[in-house]
Amino acid sequence: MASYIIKRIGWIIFNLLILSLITFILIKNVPGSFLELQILIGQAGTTATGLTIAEAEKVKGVETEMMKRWGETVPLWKQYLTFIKGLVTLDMGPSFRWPTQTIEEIIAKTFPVSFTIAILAVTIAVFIGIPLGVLAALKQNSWIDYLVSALVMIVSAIPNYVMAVFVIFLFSFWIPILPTYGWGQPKNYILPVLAMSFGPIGSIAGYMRTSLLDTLKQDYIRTAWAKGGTERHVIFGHAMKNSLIPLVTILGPMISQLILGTVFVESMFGVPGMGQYFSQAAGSRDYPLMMAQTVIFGLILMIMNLIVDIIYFFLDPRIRLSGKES
Amino acid sequence: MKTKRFLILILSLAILTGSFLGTAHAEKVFRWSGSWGNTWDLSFHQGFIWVHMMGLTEGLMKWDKDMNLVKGVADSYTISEDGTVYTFKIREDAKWSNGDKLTAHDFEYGIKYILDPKNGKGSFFGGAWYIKNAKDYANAVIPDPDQVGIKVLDEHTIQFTLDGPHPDFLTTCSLPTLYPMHKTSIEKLGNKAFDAGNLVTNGPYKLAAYTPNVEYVLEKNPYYYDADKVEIDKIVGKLGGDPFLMYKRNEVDLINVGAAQLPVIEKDPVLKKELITFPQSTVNVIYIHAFDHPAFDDIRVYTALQKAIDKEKICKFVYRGLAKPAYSWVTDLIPGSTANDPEVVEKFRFDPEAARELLAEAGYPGGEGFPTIHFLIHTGQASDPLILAVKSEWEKNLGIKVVIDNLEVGVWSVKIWQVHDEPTVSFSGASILYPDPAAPLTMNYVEGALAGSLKRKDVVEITKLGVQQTEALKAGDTKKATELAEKIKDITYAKASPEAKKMMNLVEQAQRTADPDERLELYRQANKIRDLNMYGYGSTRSFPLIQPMAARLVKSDFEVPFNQYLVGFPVNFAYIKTK
Repeated sequence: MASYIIKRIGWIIFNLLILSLITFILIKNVPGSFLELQILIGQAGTTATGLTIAEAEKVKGVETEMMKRWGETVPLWKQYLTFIKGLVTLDMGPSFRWPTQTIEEIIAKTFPVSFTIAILAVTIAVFIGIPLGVLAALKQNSWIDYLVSALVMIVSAIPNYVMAVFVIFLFSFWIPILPTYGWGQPKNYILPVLAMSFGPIGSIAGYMRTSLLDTLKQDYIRTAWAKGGTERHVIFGHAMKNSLIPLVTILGPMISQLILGTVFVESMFGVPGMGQYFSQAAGSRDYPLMMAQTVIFGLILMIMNLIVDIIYFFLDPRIRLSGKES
Repeated sequence: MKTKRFLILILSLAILTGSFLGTAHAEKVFRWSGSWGNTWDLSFHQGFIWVHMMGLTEGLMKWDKDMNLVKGVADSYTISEDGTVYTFKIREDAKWSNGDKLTAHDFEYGIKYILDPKNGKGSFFGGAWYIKNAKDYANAVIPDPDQVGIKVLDEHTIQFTLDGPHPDFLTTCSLPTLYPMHKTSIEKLGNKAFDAGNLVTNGPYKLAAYTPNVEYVLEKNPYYYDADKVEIDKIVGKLGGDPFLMYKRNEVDLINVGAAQLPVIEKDPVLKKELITFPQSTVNVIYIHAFDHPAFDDIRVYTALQKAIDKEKICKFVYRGLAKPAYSWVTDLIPGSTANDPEVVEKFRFDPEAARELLAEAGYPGGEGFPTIHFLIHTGQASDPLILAVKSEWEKNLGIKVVIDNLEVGVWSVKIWQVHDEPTVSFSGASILYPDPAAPLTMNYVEGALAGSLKRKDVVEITKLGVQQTEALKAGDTKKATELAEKIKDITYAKASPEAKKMMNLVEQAQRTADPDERLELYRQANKIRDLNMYGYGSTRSFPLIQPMAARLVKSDFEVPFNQYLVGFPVNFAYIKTK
């Protein structure tokens, strides 16, 4: 087990290097730069696109000491190595867009927020999605199944930012008990978490329904019924346990996606998470932040997958982590 | 017994809640939405920095609530006879938010900090560039900051020597580039000096809290010399969310609204009463980019393009009355403007018949043979109805073809500087930040207008040189960059049209003129030449479309004076009053 984990960690590091290199090459080849964007649209009101002769001179001045680390004057390979060194030593320097904050400060501040929101959303989704899926499976082809399946389809198809508007109207206008915006109090978590949990509820309920139906058709379940087991004993004692295993595989990627894929919800409710920083970094060509966040996202995804595999091992003893069947 | 206990508990809770609510109510809080930005360091000039101007930091001069220029932390000032030396006495009771005394050294430090090429660089230098050698120091031509024309005469007296007479220097002393900065905290804490809790300010407010992308909180600065007159205890700036929903939920007291929200506001009697509209010194402009086509060497083509747009109709239907047609780059809020000059208005007012005639005279009857125009927009502009309206007007009234190229903003920011194969235009807003005739006619803008008067082949040539110059700058080859800049300048000055050169002479004359009426007239004449010839103030020709109005919803229990020049922000948080 320990050797397997060490081997996987080695692969994670290798994959992260590949990921960071590809990201770096892509970023460096995307047209536009932070400086150009700042000159054109980074001003209050004076968004004149005509850069005058005198103003063009400013481009020289704009490249500050902070930016020289990433500037055009530094060879590409050196820029890449600087980034890797910064990543390893946790000294990634300041962001372009947030010049008085370092990358590690930004991540340290935003990651816990995004992580908490994602975990809460997935927890709610698990507590609502699993019973819904079970109900639909047990009442297969009944009106309950159809209703649950329809709901699952609807909540899965509607993006979380539309759900965000829906929950705002529901809990801030029709039943005006929650604020639409803000951070710092427990009540501020409710709407963003709710908005983000609808999609996962749909996925989990859908998976649960399919998985339980599959399990219920297995021979050992038939044997359990034949042995005179009660419905409670057969369903919850035998079928449920095995039906939950495939669900574990989707929870890892689900959490990682929720951590970084919540741009709209964050901006709508004022959640100081990673998503907004990520989209703003891309839009403003904030190279250091884009690079760091891509690597962090890759890291989260790979760690989640590793955790899922380890949990899988404990849930299903038939699975050998080496990949060989027992 | 149980019921009794329960009642006591409820009663205690009610009293406690009541007392808390009472405390909260006593504190006057003003919450607003519509600000943005990423740092509190003045040297990185971005939108957020204007919050300094509205309440955090105060310069030698400031605006009063009616937008008159008045003394800020300056106690008095003198101007030398030739208009090049300004000496300010600083108020002796002026203090920083940590209780330290505000001195002349803080101004010297702050201005040089912003100019220092090692620090962040924004894109606006305002009056700082009027100071002798300041521009050269900012561009690292002069390494020694002592050569910048700033001299501390004593603890409370500072003297500025300018590179020439600039009567609007006094006005620019109210802008952030000439603000003081707290040396001790910056030298001790570095970047951390700009964090909430560490940032030391000298204005009516101090920064109490800041959560990027969420909100900032300003609290009254007890050491501000005029603290007794500041009524609002706390300012909360919300940096996200849906402003209209937040306003309706009473989570904010001030928001910006657009034409799309007007129908809803009109139907709601409360919102209708709280709607405030006012003109602002912003003009939306069409820029003609670098490409070589003979049609665009003919002023009749530009005139036809402008006359073919029914600006009145666009203002009425697209903007629902929240805009008015613009015929000048400079709105009538700026002295010296020729926005209402009959000759200018008549030349460019909507007349589709005359527009078609002009196009025919230029050799394109009914738009036949006229090249396709590419309208370059970025994704942030895609929802702006003005773009589709202009396309439709040109196609309908001139019979020409217009294609909208919607690009990601970073790609757009590169494309607009390139030389294009086909006629290419773009769209943007531009504001004049203070009401002085010199503001829209600085030498930067005048040189831009000279470039705007060039023939297409010359525009293409200087654009190509400009791209090479930027590359040289990025590669650190300053020598080559300087040579290229000189070359661009030479071409521009040599090949500019006689009218553009006349405009430049008028501006140079105005800069040397002390008499205010004469100065104003010279600037007015220069504005008129620019407007009639559509030189714009960028490096390409351009023309104005509309002047959008500012529209705000303000809760009826507040009175907020607005700054028409600073894209409609409050003049200063210190002037907000409760009714």
